[in-house]
Amino acid sequence: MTNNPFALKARDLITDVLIDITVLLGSTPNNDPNFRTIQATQRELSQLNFQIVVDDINQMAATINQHNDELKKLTSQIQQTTASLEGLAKRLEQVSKVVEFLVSVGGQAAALGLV
Amino acid sequence: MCRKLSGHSLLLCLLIELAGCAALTDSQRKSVANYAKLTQAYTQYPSEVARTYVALNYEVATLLIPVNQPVVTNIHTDLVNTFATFEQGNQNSQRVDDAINILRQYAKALEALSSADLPGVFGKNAELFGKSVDNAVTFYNKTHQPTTALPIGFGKLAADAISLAGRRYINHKQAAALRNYMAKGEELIKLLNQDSQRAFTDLENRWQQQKRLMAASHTTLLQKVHEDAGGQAARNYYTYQINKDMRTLIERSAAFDKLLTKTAQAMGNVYKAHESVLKDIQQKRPWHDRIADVQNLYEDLTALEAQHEKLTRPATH
Repeated sequence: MTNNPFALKARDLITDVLIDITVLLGSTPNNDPNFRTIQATQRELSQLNFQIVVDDINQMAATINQHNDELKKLTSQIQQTTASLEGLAKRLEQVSKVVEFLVSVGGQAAALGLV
Repeated sequence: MCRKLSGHSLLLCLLIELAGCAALTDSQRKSVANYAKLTQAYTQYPSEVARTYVALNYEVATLLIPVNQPVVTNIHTDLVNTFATFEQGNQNSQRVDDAINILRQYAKALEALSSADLPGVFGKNAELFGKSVDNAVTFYNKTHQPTTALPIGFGKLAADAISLAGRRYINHKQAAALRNYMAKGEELIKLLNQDSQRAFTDLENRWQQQKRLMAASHTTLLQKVHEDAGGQAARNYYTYQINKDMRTLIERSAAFDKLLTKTAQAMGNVYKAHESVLKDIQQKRPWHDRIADVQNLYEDLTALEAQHEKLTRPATH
């Protein structure tokens, strides 16, 4: 898929021609010698046009996809940060043990009338 | 304030001082979490647009098959061939889904990071430690039988204080992490929005052409029915059928128009909201907010001290 402006222009041109051919087909009588030719051209262009529609979706995905890698990296960094914050919580838990000890000692000291 | 507190409380004071004033307010955290949830909800729409676009165009492409295929027995083959292209289009719309999935992941990660439950692990442990202190006190009272029994619940009080300090400290780190990553994400979401808008505009232009093709095909079908169908009754019947089908197709087209416009607009808002939320969490909080935080902290500590007084000097009757 491409963002080539010429390709996009050509793509639009094909659809414009298809629309004209479709209008022409409608106004051409069935018994006109050119009818079969117009009919065949219309059929081919119609298939091509639908293929272009399908390519459009591919194009859209490619365009949206462009920054995926960077967003992926960012997402993984965010996940790492979440993990490191959990690590921080664990470290604080260790600190709490120290405080718990101090509280316990303080309580005992208070009970013994030392504080 | 700290001087009034006993020795072990100094450590609590230190922890709280370390926390600083940069923690997120609840409303700031909620705005990040809400943004993350909304963005996740948004991510289903671009692939919905892609699928509907291919489906509608499949119908436009098959509309004229009965007219443009001169050999009646080949009509079936034409339909099968077109259907194969339709299936290919569906696979491509899956690709859109995959592409936009990254935005979903980014939002999920952001939601996790903005979670208020993040310090929950720590809080739970603090409570456990509180209980273990109580057990120690009970054991002490039982074993040593002091003249004044040590009060139970002392440990839990301390644990609450630790939990409080820990929560504030984590909030500070969490705020810094959120600010950093949303700042990095900002540029990417901006570019993603620009690219998506370009893709949506391309799709919109093509869709306008396809609608013209649909109108031309409708006219052609009616002309051919008028030309070929024998008798007025047959003409009326086929015209009615064609118009009825076209009406349904036009209604679906109109619905798709809205879906396409809204999806593009919403992608713009995914970016705008990201920008606003980032600004919100980057903002230095106004002075009165700081005062409120300090006031809250002061009240927390005062309440703790009062409780501490009661516990260490139980009323003697």
